[in-house]
Amino acid sequence: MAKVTVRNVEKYYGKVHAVKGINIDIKDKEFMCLLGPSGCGKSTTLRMVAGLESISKGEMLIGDTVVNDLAPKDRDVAMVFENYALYPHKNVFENIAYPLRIRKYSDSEVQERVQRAAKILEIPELLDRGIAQLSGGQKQRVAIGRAIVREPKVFLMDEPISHLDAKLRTHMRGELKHLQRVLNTTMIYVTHDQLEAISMADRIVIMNLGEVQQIGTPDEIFNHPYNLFVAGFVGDPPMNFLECELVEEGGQTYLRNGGMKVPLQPAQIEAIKSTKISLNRKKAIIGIRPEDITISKEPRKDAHIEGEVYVTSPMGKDVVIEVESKGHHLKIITSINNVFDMGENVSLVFDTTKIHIFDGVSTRAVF
Amino acid sequence: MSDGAFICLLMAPTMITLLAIALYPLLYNLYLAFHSVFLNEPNAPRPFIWFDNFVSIFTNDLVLSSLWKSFLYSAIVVTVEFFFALAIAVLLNREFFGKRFYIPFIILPLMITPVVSGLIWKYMFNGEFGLIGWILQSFGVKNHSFLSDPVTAFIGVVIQDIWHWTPFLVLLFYTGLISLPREPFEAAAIDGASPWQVFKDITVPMLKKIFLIGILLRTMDAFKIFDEIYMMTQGGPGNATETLNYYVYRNTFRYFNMGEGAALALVVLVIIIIISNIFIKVMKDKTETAQ
Amino acid sequence: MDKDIVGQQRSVFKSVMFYVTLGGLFCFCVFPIAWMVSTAFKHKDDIFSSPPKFIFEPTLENFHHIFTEAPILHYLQNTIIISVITTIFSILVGVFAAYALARFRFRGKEDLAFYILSIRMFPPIAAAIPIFLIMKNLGLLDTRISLIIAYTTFNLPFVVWMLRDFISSLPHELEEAAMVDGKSRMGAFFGVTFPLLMPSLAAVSTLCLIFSWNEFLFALILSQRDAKTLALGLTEFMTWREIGWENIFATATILVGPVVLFSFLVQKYLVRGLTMGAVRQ
Repeated sequence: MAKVTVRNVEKYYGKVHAVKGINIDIKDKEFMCLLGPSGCGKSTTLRMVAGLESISKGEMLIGDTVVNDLAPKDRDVAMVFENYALYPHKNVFENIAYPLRIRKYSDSEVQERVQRAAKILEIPELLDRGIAQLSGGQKQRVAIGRAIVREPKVFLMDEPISHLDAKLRTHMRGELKHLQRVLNTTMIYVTHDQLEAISMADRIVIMNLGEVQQIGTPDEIFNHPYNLFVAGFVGDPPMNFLECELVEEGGQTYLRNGGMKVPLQPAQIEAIKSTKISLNRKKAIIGIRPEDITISKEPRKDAHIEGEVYVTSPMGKDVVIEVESKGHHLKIITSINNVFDMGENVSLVFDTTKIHIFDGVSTRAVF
Repeated sequence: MSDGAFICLLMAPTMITLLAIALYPLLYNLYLAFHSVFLNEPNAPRPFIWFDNFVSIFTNDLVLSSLWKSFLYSAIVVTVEFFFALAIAVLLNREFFGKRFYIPFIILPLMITPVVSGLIWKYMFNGEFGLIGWILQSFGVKNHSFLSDPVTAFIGVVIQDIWHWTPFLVLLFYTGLISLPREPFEAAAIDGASPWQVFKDITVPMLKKIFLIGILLRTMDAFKIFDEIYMMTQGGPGNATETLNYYVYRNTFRYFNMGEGAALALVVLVIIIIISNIFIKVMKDKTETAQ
Repeated sequence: MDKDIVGQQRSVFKSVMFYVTLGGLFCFCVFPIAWMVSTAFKHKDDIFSSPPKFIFEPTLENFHHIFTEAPILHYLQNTIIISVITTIFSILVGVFAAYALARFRFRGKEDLAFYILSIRMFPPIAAAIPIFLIMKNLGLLDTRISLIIAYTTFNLPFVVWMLRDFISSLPHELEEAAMVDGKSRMGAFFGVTFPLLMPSLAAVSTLCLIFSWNEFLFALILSQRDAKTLALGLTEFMTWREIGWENIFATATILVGPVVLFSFLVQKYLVRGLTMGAVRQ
């Protein structure tokens, strides 16, 4: 177990600047998630920790040791690959045992450790099977088994469950989180699925285009996103965004978009005024999550927007209603008991305490 | 038109052609093998002689020794070429300066017509003006006419074969190496395997199918070798390089004993069929397991 | 393989040894061929000198000789005609069988395909003896047609087997979509799949040309003068008295040149062609 420190690390592939100077401090025994869309640099960063990619600039530390020039085998890390990377000609037992065999552990030691790992992962009956006969989920566990059998300093996981079917994935989320606690070892987990990150991680690093967007707990990321990207990436259905203008009129300050007017609270006005990057050219973006909008059939006086129901998508006990208003589409989540029909006229009221305001040009969060 | 009739229509030209030019000759060969047929006596009767031809060939020392030579030759060249090619393929499996330009030249010997390959080496081995003859002479080797001595003649043909055919296995193994998935090797790097361990435990086992294909194909071809021997030694000196295939040719078209020749050809055919069946089995196996 | 993995740097010594080995390998592979070609341009006296001459004055007289005073041009014509005709015939006939084997399902299909493959792998000598007798009886010895027939015995199975493989790897949904749109089955095949098959057809044809061009045994047995191929023509200069190396290698250069060129053209398909589709590049 050890902490991992990424200091000003950059990665170039020829001229392509894949990772642009990132800093991450991962605490010992922490479950840290690297989250982001394809191509954001999260896998590259993970592979640099592993030693599978060289580090162009900056320093990488495991514990207190700078590992930039250490071969993967000398870093004492274990990795679970997206496509499992099992040895196709070895059976399950030998796959898990291989790291120990290389280090010349005694047969009895190998037996004991492999059996222990198999038990934790609930696959002891598979030990003498060939790899080709295993299902995706089983291969997954063998790959994890191979990683845990060594008791390394850090576990690295590169989208380990992304190729499993939906039901299995849901199940594995819980299993992996439980496993990490049991093993009590630092884990760095790469995924593009925000639900995985939110539900499993102690802290999350959100990345985009080679840069760190935000580092924080799931709660921080979800409720206090730094910028538009983070706000829009986390949450399903995603946050609704509306472009507005900052208007000061008749003693009131509000954000306006066409017919919609959102009056601003003093705290919000204060926040806007105190930011050094004040709303450029008076352009702002309002963000409001689907669960923070109230939808009603009757027209309401305090309605922020009025529109027509575009489509409804039931989701078990909730329903996602997409509303169209003057070319904007907004999504609202409400209880399935509220029945709305396509084409129906509705009124939307925002929970003003949950409104996020972003600078229209820099997309940084202001409130 | 029904599917069945349509299929027949599509297959008919091919099947008819193959029946006429491939199957019929084979059946004729079978017929010849059981009869006494001499071409230099065209009007003589052709009696059915049961297995006399076969008895005759299997009690013939020359036949047995040529059979032995075929096996020996195949065993030697396939073994040497295998290890040689594997080493080269591993060597080529990395980035280096000028790689794209380099590889076609390594494959070049394979593209040379077999008879020409034989001729080139015959020329180089020549005692009086051949390059190798001259090199040997400079080193003080007395008898520097390589192809005149039974033992060295055999070695000479072997060397020619190695030069000509190793590139085939190099190409095959190299193709296999570069199509191996990258991840098990990364996993091995993290697990801590040394380069030799990686090669032994991961690379080689994953290449087993390709190794098998290469060995089978080369063995079949080595057994069938003809053109090069015709050009280099004509089976000589004496019978030193007379492999079975060459013996069949020489015997049949010199003494015109067609019956015996056909019987011998059958023996060659049977051996090749056995090997090619193994090859086909490997191929079938390959298509069945999901890749 | 381990290109970017950390810690795998090679020492300078190892690098040097690597390039030295590469260089040695290069020489070993290329030198004999270069030696042959250079001999083709040597004057007769230069060839028989001992020690061998590396520096000489090149001459075209050998090439001149083989075309004017020896029937090499005739042999070259034979080789071209025979190779081209057997290839064309094999392709025209074989493509239909390949299509049937690739797209339809019928009993014994796999077995039939493998029987056809095994014909390809037969030792030529097993067919040479009966074919010799048959041709003799038909009075077709030393004719081009006899060689065309003989070569088709291995070209046709090759074409059928390889094209079957290629057609199988083209998605059949394309033809199905065309059939739904109104084309007949053959119409769909020729309109949709066939154009996509062009590169494979070119590759398979080229390989057939190469095999036919290089062939020796059948030519030796079945031809004498009229139908003599270029490969056999190499023996033209081998009398019991002496071997005209300068002429042989000039002929060989003419023989080998197109083959090497063709082989380069189908480089991408070489492994697949030589292993009967067992290994793909």
